[in-house]
Amino acid sequence: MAMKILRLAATPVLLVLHAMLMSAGAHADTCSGSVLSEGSSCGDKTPIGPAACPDPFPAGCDAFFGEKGGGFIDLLECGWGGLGSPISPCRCESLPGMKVSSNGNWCMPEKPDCSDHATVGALSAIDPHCRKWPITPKKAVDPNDKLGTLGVSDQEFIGAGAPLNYAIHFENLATATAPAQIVVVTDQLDAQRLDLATFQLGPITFGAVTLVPQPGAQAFAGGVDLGLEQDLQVVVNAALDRSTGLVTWRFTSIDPATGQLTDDPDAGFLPPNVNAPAGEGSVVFTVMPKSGLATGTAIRNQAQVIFDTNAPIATPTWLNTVDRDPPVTHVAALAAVQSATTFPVQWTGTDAGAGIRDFSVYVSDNGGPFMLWQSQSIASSANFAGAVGHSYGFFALGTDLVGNAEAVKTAAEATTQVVSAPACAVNVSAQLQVTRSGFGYNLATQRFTQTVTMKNVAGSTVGAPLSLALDNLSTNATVYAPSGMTSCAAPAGSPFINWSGSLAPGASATIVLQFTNPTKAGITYATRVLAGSGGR
Amino acid sequence: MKRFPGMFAILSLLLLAQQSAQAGVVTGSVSLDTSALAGTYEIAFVFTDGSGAGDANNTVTLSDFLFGAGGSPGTVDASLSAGGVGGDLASGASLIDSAFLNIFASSFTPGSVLSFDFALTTNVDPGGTPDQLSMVLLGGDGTPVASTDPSGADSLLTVDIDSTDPVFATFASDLTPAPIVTEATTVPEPPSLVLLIMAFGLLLSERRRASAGR
Repeated sequence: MAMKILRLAATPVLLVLHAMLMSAGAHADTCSGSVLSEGSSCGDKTPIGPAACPDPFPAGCDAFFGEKGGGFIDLLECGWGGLGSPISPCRCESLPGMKVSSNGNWCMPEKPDCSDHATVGALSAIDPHCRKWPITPKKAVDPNDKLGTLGVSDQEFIGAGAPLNYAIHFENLATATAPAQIVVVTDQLDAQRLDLATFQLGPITFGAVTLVPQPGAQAFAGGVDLGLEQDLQVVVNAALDRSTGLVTWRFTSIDPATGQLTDDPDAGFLPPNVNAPAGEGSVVFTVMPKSGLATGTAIRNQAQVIFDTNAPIATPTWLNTVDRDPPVTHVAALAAVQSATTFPVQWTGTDAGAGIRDFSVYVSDNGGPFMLWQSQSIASSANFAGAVGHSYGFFALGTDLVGNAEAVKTAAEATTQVVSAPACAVNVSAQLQVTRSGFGYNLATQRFTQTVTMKNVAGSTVGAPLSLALDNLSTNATVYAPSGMTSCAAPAGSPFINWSGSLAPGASATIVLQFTNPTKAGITYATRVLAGSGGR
Repeated sequence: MKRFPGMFAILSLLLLAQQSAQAGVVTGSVSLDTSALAGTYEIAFVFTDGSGAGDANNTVTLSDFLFGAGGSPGTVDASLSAGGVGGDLASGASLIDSAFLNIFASSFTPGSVLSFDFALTTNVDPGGTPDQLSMVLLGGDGTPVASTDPSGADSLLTVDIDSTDPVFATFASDLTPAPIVTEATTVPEPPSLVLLIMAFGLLLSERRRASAGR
């Protein structure tokens, strides 16, 4: 008797698990604890394997993934984990407009021009519809396999209140020389992290038979008559020992004639798995994590399977990690005033755990109530269209990939005011006497220097700030570290240097210019002095 | 009315003389206390043309370099020197603004005091940017010795040729006090003197002819 290595895609198996758990209540009345004949309604085993896609995304969910880019669809309602979660190939192919990439690694839009700039999960800056998701990697699945609740990322993050569902699979290899008569499955629960009072047995399957314990049952005793062909009954006992946290399932092949364990070495309830799923079985249970577990708490679970007198074989360990903390988000600071009615607003956040799923951004207009502006956005910025004379306050709220939502805020994290676009700064050249020194030359930096003095020769103060613009600067030279380039008042494109103060009548301001001039040809320009807060 | 052509010529010459007299020559001497310097240094004179065109309208003549006890002239730094320059510290050097940037540089061994005489023509460039002469002290590695020059060029001395009586600005460095500039009287250029003599000669001649005619 031996166990074989079976490879199954993880996601379909979990979907089956999910379906089994969801259907438990419906079957309980007719199947629980009864001895059933083959071919009954409870004997129809749900198909397992990659050939079919048992649970394609619900209608409408494709809008989030595909090139259509429709309204936001809640990812969890669509049965999918989040931005970085992988998608099985069959689920990908079930989405209209989506395909598995040629290398098999990505689920992405069929648009041919998406291949170069699709981004993982998030919106592409080039084409918002060109998002892609990783394809579920193929995992080695031992026949004695343990699968658990699918969480987010490699750490399988789950919310603090999420139930933990586990399925344990076993199989008698097709190459085995005899059927299994007794199979014992044990699973040691972590009593420190799991609330054993919430433990519930789920469906128990072998071959084409499914037994469903009562809802909430922590123990089960039942059996199945395998019919005349095998002339066997299978007794199944399952129970949780609350004192130790050990769960045990025992399958025993009974000779109907003696009521004892069959003594026929060629008889047994689990034959070599030549005609799958005749040689396969599984058990399922669910349990809640204890309340109060901190974010980052790892919950591991591993089972053991024993065939007859063989040594126990351990299943893989399934890991889930608790994420109970919501994200911390904020809107980035804004300039006190905006001269354009449309201005960018940026937000960001951090999450200890699964990561941020989306942001919602709220805005208050002139101190009014905060209204939703950006709903469940996966972007980190957007342009806000305001109105001149209005003040705006913003805050952001985040939700993480396991559904933890940030508490509602009451105060703005960033405020700004939209003001009229300023006129160009005043050209005050006529009010100032501009005197230039000769050019010096810094032998170390090889930059030319020049001191320019601006004296107010008018009878009124020239308002701050001042900007000395150098118009028609010879092309061989550039101003080193200018304050900016003129763009408001003509001529545009002239470098200028700011001087922050104002100039009373008779007062002077001095600016030292530096020029880079690799050719060392002559430097010429005309001066223009701009004053006031207007544009340069 | 008969005397009008002669008077017109006199007035023209006087006006020309007046204009030409702006192109004077400033002479003087510079001394720099180099007693704190040890090793080999370099002195550089930078002469920039305010017009940017290399109009060659001003010259600087440097002569009678003295270095004090223990000092001596070195060799011209050809790699740093550029533009309209010539000579050396031993025999005297000259600069002309025939290029936008003109540099005369030479090594020297400092003694107690570095001194030299200068003669600087003062033709003011049009356009608002004057020619500028500056003097920079460099260490043995070619790095300028930092000075208090607010322009950041680390000059010890600058003079903008913005008038016939330009102002010399001096700055102390990390290793030396500010140099001392002693200016001599501004001397009109010979062509201006000739024009003045001719004008006064013509004026005298005109007066004599007028007296003879009465």
